[in-house]
Amino acid sequence: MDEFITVCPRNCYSTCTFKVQVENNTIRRILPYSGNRATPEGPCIKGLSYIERSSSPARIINPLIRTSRGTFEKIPKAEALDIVSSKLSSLKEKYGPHSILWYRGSGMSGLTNEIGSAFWKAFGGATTTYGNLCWPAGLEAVRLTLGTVKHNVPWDLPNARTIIIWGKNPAETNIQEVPFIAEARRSGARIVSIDPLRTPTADKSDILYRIKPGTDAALALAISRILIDNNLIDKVFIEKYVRGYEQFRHSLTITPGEAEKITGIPENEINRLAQIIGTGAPVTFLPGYGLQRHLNGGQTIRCILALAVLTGNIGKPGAGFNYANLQSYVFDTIKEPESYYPDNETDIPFRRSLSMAGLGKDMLKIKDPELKGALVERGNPFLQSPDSTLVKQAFRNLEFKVVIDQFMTDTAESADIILPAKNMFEQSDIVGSYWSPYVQFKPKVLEPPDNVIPESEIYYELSERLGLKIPAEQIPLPGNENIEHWLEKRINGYTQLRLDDLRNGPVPAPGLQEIAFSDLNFKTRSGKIELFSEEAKEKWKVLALPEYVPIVYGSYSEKYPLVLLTPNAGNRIHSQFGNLEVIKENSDKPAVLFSAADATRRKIYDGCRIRLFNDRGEIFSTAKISERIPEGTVVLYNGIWLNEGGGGNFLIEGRMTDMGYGSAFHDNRVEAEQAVL
Amino acid sequence: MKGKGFIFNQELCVNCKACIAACSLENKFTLPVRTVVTFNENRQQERAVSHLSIACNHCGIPLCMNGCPSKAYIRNAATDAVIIDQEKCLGCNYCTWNCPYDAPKFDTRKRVIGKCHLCYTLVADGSLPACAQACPTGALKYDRFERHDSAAIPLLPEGFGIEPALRFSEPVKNIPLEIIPPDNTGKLSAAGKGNINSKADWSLVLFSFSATIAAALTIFSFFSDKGPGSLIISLLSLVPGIISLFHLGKPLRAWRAPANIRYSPLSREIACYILFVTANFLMLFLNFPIFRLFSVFTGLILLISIDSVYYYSTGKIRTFLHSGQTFISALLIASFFTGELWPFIFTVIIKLSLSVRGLTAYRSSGTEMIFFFRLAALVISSASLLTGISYPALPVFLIFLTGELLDRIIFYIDFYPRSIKASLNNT
Repeated sequence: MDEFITVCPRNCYSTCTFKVQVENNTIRRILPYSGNRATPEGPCIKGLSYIERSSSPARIINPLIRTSRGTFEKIPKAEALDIVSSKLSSLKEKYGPHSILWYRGSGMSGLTNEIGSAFWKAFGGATTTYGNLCWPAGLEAVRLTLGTVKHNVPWDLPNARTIIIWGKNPAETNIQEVPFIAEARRSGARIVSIDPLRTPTADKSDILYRIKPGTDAALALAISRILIDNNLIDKVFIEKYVRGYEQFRHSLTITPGEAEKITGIPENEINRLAQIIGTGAPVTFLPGYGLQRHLNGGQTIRCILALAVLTGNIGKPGAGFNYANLQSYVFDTIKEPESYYPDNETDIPFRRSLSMAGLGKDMLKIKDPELKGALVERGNPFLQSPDSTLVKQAFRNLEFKVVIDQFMTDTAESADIILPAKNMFEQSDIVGSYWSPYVQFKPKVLEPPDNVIPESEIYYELSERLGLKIPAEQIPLPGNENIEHWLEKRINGYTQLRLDDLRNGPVPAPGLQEIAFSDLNFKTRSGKIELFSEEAKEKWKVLALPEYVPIVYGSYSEKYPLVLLTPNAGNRIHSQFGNLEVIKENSDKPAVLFSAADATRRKIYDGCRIRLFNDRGEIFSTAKISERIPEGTVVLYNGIWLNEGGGGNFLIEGRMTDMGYGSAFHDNRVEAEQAVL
Repeated sequence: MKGKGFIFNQELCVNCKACIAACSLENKFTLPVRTVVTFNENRQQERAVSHLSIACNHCGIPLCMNGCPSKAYIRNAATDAVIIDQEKCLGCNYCTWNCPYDAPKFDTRKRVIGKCHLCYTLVADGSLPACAQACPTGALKYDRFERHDSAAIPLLPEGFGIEPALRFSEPVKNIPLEIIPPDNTGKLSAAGKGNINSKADWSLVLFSFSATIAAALTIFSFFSDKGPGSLIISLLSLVPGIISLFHLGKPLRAWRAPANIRYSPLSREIACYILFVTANFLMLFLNFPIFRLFSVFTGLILLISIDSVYYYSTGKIRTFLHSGQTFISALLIASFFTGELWPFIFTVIIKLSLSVRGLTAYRSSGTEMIFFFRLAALVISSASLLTGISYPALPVFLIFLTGELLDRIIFYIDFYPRSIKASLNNT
């Protein structure tokens, strides 16, 4: 049995290192690797499920073509690639290259993902996407304020005396953070959760502030005011390192009493929370991403971040604002969130792009040329994009769709050709993390099934067929040794790191600051922490100061009383993993979660079939009454496949966040009733 | 007892179930042998919510092994793991009653018991069991420590003294979560989770009830000429044995059942039953008073052995004070059949008082109707017997026996084998 060190490439905070035991080209065991200080106890249940996932009978291991009867049939690899290349070239000939949408999701991280863009550039371009479904509003808010998106290493957390978990649920979405929180608590830190939901993380906290969804900025601003009024701020720090304090101070008009009306949290408790933050230094804030999937998401993050700034909880052990830590993204020329901006130049291959948030709407709207084809990789936009109905309609209108995937997702079901995707064990790559500070090598440890080739080789084969002369530095020749050679060259020039340095396990990012901003160097326009940001105003047309902007639910949802939240489930990464047996056995059946009060009012009981609807659409699901849910809110975890009832995106309007081109998933309202069978 | 065992830290467990997944991926068991049980599952505000990952604790004094009638359990010498040999298991489920941690589980596909074997081959090689190896928060560890009795496990009722290889790494703090604003809207009640583990099983009801009647008939025949003959009694005494086979996952292995007569009450029950049947058939050939007395004697011993099988119940009524226990029922039925007034009055008074006690325990539980029917049957039939009306008319006879059958059903309704879930709900 062979053993390798590898890394989980999913879109997840933890990016766990683990050991993998391979026997007969099959994954036998997945074991923890203690050399990664952030994930020493090993991966979560999803990581363990790779044993099943890598050899699942449900995996697509042959190219498939849609027949006239609508079913799929296996075809030889060469034939599939022939069809794809001839279709692409005929679409290009007839309508131009921009009639083809190249859609990429976040299904697998790694540097080799870039190889596709060399193909499409040589192809003459394609319509791409800008923005991101996940986190860019917050990234932008942090970038505008602190200049760089980074935070202290995960193992610094036990140094905190107060931990404010604001809209984050590490117990389910970043479980490797739980031991650090527990260690802090054991040594006396106070753990405060601020969340509309009583999450499993809240269950491990001392206090839970059950805030109304979308009102976090109002709470933060009220606390700022109390902190300032009670002199609980770090004046020396502010004077030296902060720009715009005076303007910010004068803009604080929300009183604790008004905040009570907005947030649902009593005035005296807001005062107490301010005391906890103002006297609990060092304070680490753990903001989540759901928090900023609101129309006011960017400004909300700016408001909360202001609390860390006012109290001087930046650049110190046990302190900070842990939104995302991009220190390991050392090989990126343009880092998030700037990489999400659309290209503005007019003569470049990717000049035309559609917003991730409004994909369906944009796809239907775009002209000259209209979209005629699509290639989807690493993504499942049918489920994960808002306005699923429009997305489906837009895809249905296309003449030709290619989907590259490992499993028959709802998006793959719509394809004309499905090309099997590699899995994480079948090609070498380099992976960074947005939480831990490691650069990691992911080796090839399995031979893919006979008819599966990695995406880089799909692009190689297509470029050969299309006669695109693309140099090997851009699209490597087939074979893993060529990929490793490509990686070797790719990382050259960024840092001193060479590929061989990475082979023995995770390596801390060159230039890592264990305590972020300990040098008090802020790469903003002014060189200071910017509470007041002209850039925010110029770029995003928001106030230069952090502000609470009430959510506009839109006229269509006025008659629907229940706020729909679609957070991430513990046992899935978006729509991944939910199809595996080991995951199903250990998860609750997909259900819409109700508070007892809301359920009773609608004569909905536990386990009853329900219809969840608004003017955008309807879905059928099962009701579950849960103590985790506050009155006025319903929860449906995201990533639920259509054959499980479908996800909330059928009821969610594709609207953009205030900054960063994110998606405001959580600003929709619905009604529910017992389903008539 | 020194040795290795599971060390659990409640502060770190968030019920992610990686331990369960790791177990099933490593061992390909056909059923999940590890579970995570939650304390305060309904999230009552005054208490903290916590979890416990639990499979088998490979106890120093394993009740599963001691109670197993077919000696299907063995202890692995290298690792101290308590392992079940599925080839020897009858599928009688007795170990699931005895284990306070619900470690043995009935595999409905294989029709035998499945349970954690501590990944003994891995552990013997110096590795960790898959569950402890996989726990991503480090809540579940496997290491060396001095085994205590279960008093060391604060969530369990203390003092089983069975030396489980499970320990909590620190005392459990029950600090409830403070919720602001307080949550007063439509709380789910903590109650309504009863009957998790009620073991009402028709074949067991019929087995024990037919054994009671067979034993009562031997007494009847011993004291009265009106009783049935030896042939009928002998044939009747076969009925419980046949019925009991239906309750087994593997009826063809029933012959193994008396194998553990030294420790297992269930083995003793089967042995007593075999003795009872033998005594009855002996009577066919040797119909002397001494053999008839022997048959009565083995019948009573059988009933005592049946009653002791149910010793560990966490039901509302103690097994030995239950109106439905077989020993008292047999005496009542025998005295009813013989029509001997004073013994009958004496047992009726005992029965009545025990039944009323049972009814009190189950008042407004939704199941009290069956207690009323049971009491009515006893009152009607004994009244007609005492007043000498229409004895031995068939309806009275039927009403009386129905009442006794109901009593036995009540016995099973109230029979709750020890279970960690029940323990958690009652803590």
